[in-house]
Amino acid sequence: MTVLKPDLIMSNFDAIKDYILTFTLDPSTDQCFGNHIIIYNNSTNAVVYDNITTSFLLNHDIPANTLVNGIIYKITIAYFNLGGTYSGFSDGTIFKCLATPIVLVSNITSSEVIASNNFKFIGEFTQAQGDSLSTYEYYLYDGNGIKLQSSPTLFYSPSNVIQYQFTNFINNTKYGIALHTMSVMGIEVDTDIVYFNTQYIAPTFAGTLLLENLPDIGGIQLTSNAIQIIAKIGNGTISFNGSSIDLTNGMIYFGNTEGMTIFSDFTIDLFNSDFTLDEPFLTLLSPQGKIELCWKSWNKCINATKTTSNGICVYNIFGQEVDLTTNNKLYIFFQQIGNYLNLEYEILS
Amino acid sequence: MEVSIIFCGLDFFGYSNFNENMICVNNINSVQMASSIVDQISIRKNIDVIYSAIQKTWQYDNIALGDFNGSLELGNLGNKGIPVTSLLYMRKKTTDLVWDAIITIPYLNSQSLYSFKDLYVASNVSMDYALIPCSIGGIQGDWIIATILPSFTGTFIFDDYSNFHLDKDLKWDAITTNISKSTYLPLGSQFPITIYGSTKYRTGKITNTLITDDSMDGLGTGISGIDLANERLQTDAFIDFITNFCPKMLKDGQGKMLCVNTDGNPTETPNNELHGGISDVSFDFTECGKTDIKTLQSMNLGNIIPDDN
Repeated sequence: MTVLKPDLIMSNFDAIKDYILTFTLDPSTDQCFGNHIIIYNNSTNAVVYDNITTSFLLNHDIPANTLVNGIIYKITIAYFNLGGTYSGFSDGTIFKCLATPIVLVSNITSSEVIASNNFKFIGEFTQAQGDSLSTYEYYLYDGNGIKLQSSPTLFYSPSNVIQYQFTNFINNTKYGIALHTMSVMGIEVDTDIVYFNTQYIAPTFAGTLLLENLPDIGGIQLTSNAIQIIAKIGNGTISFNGSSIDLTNGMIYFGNTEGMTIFSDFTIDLFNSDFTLDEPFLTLLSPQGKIELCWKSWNKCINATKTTSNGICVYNIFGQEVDLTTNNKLYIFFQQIGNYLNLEYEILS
Repeated sequence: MEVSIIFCGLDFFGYSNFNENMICVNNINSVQMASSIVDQISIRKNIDVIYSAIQKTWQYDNIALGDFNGSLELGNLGNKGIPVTSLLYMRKKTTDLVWDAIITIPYLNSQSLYSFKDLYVASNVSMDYALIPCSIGGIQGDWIIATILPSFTGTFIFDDYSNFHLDKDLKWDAITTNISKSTYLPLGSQFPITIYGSTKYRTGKITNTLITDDSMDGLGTGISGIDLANERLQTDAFIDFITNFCPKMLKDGQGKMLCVNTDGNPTETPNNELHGGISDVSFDFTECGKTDIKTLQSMNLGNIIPDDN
């Protein structure tokens, strides 16, 4: 017959909730048939709870509201075997009852629509007895509650905000966010998942951000080339067909009012089809004149023509004969190099 | 793929419309497209381009690139026809998690090159920068992120408007980290009780010889080629700077970066061997704040000014 002192597994808990205390026994001891716990107010040493339970289980339920939050207690436990022989009481274990911290993600509400592809979530943590936040993590879920991402475990300091920024949300998508906290006294809390939606038209950018060290001034040079050109409809009607634009009955234009100027030399690559014969399909206008690309029926070639502002044609080149009556698709390579033009093209199969 | 023709106009002189007075059509300010179905147009500044019948992607020298996937956009900024309103730049230390906005530059149709300098970086501390185009309502678009390891030598003391490079006979005296504490001696106890406050800041002293580049090169008219007039101007400007009672930044090539007040009485010690042509200047400093952008901006520092593009 061996009945050794049990070992308590104890943590701080919220006194207004039921708490299941657990303990362990040395494997060499007799089977547990019940246990007896005594809880003292640690300040006064007065017994505040004394209860015996009969159970094979190595635990003991402490009913809600038996203890009071904010008080430090000492607990000790003994168990007894089939014959009613008691072990000695365990060494006293100190614990504190603490109200469950109130934790929430404060800057978003359920079903809110975020008009961006990223969001910095901000949380709040309060605890009635003054327990403080130790660490926190944010969890990002998809619309079905499946976890997509976790923030790293972030350590809190009073000068910091409980925040984390998730980025690259997909447009028109439902997400959920939750905050997990661990207090200094070891109480963990998970918020409910707050679901939100994303809906935005966001700019895309195909440029680059160049960074360069400036050792003479001890700084960094940041340079980027960003241009948004939105062409306008000049006349007629246009339509989009997949990844192409139908200009057979209309004209679009763009230029310096849309943020673009071609100062001198240039290279133009053009992929066209369904040409209207003898009508310019590309016209470049400047105060000095214009350059036109046009398939001319008299020579059955693409012609590049320079015309002065007075309407005098001063330069014309053309390529080899090409049949555009069958709506062939062309690749056109066109350059201005100084005063000269360079024109090449081919039919794409 | 069937290739039907190739023709190079540069060497073509056979057609009678050719005119010796042909002009270069410069400053093209409008491009019109019509009378066809267009898959793509690419306009580049570069003429050293290889002929290739493959659809293009945006290149550094592109002026316009239109794919016409349901919109009339031809720039490297796309937003389904909605105007882009600003370019937001953010930064963080590579090891940090949260980005800080450092500047928002309004997007202008008349401007394509955007640049600025960030002086508020410590040497040898890797930095991530992000460029984010924003549209109406502050909707953020793609994040373009780049990383750099700042690297410089010497010591800089600067604010948003002035920047002095201290690298001649530079001497940092010992840097003291000051903390606050109180020690109590309870009766009946062998040991004292020490209570620490939250105060923690650094103080120190720097001495540096001020000398202009012209004097270094011996281009002045004074002894040893010292440019006396410019030396005076520079020394006065430096003394004025460190006595302007405003917070400023102090950093060195090793990676130290402090937000400081230059307190105490700065001293100017003329170099008598050079007949006072150049001077050593010493000043004390006291750390007065953190160096994150938000804190700096609260002290009227850390304001990035776009280059004049």
